[in-house]
Amino acid sequence: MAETLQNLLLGFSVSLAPANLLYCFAGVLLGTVVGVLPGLGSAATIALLLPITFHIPATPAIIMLAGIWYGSMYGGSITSILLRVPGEAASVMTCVDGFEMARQGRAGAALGIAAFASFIAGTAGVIGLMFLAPPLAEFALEFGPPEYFALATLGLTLVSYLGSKSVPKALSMAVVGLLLGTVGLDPVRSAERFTFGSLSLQSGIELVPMVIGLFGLAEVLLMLERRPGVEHLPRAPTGLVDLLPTRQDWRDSAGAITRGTLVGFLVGTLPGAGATISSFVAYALEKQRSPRPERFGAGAIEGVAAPEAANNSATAGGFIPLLTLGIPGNVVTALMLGAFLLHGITPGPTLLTQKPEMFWGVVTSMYVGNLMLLVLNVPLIGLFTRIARVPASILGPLIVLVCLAGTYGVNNNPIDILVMAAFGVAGYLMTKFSYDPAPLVLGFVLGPIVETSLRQSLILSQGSFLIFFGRPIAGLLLGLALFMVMSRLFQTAAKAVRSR
Amino acid sequence: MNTDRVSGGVLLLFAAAVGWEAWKLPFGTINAPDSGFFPLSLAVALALLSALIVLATWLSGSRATTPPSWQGGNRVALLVVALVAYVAVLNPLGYLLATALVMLLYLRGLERVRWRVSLTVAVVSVVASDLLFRRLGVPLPAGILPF
Repeated sequence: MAETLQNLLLGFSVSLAPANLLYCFAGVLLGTVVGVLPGLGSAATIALLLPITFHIPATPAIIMLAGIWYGSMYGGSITSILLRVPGEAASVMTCVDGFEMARQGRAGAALGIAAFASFIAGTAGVIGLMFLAPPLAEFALEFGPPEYFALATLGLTLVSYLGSKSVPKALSMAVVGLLLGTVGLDPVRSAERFTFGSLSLQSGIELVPMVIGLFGLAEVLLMLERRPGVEHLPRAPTGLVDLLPTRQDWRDSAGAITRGTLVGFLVGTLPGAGATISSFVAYALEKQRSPRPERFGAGAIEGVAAPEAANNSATAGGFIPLLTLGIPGNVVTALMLGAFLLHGITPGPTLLTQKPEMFWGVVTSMYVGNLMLLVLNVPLIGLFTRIARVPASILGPLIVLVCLAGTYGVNNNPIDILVMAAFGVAGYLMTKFSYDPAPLVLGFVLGPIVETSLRQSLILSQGSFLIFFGRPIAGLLLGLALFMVMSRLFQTAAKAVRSR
Repeated sequence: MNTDRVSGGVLLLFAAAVGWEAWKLPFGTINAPDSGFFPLSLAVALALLSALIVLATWLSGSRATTPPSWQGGNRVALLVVALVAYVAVLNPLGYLLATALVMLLYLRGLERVRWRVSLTVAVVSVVASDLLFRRLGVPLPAGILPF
């Protein structure tokens, strides 16, 4: 206990330093804005800012990027409730009951409970992170190549199992990502692969243009499909006098917030899952538990509280695999891994002992950031809804501008813009044919980890795949992954045969 | 036309092409895998998965999934072409001029925003981004403009 307290003090001494406070504020403010804007999500924004963070020290850089992530969760709920436009995928569930509440004149209560649920869950998630990360990191020190291989494989399976309707489609995207990750130099022997004699391919495909293309430009291309000049945003209700939920509202949503927080945190810690999935799970759980499930979809306040709590605690949970194992569980933490690596730091089990001021500084900054968001959100909701009403015909060109400048800024190389455009087209087509880009990006980032650990394991075991099942942790994780794929494939096959 | 058959077929072709390239790399042995081992295994996995995607369309009694709508596809294509052209002219024309041209094409040409609004948005946003990026230490190509 005394040690935790000491760590907390160390953390706050870092996160409350004026410069770090400023970066934290910039992060949560920017996060709220991109959360509000449809088309520009937290993944694309963090990718855009990655090159810039190279010019500032590592700790404030991570503090700011983290702020963008959880800040966007707050912002996303505002437009979901007022305009039924989810600025983020993670706030799709909030639209359902939130917009219904707004239509019944209860927008204030919906926004209020969303902000408080986010704050409570975000804070609770950080506490969970604080207590769970140190023992997990110590445990992970024992991990060898088979365990890392099993973990990364489980992550890729989970992202395919949870996030998508079609497991074969999602898994195929994960494999394409793994393949794209092999372009460049072989991580074990430094032999060239798939470079086709090109010098710029030798260092591999860049993550930033890929993410900006898939998550930024692709959105713009999809926006271009509507007829020019047509805007279809519903009117925001005016006069949100009362943001404070009533006593009855609190009674109704207390349980939902608690369960949403727990579900979000647990789902968030799983490699491969994340804020979006956790909000779906939390909403489904509340609806299932409710004595009157018919209220869901008709303006139930629990339907706002649960997913909003879940998507915030999931962001805290999502830091656990990254900070303790060095394995990113989703696209955003994959980008954060990139930010760590840019500064020459490899996150993993040793981060806690070697850079405690950084670890605890980032963790405590999330307390601070959540508090800032609560204070920021309540008075500024009116302003944020006005931002959301920027017409798509202006917003699209502005996003393209940001994508162009941001991509160029990575290496000052115009070729990166071509890469970005190619992934933009790919992302557009993937949406058209219902493929999910998230497993692709995760596969790309985990690729070198998967390959290195697999090859090292096989060398260790002299070519026997039994090594993965002879070790309890690796065996358990791989067994879980295998079970999930098989059960889903059987399900699909059975359904297909029955529907003939 | 069943869309899953199209996308599954494209992935299958991609897997074959990757497999062909990976075949040329040294595979090593199973107790000492070399650089070809991982990509070749992935190509096989991808081929199996894409075959599964295609097969599933027959298993489910081939209810034709609705093909995606390509409405507005020509505008999507135009923007992509503009971005490729942008890469070609970025260095000779410079960041300010090249980017402002893309913005104008998008705003006025694709979105039919009024001329005055288009010009204002393009000029203000491009100049602002130029100032911001230079301040952040990202050098942008100056090109033919004297400033």
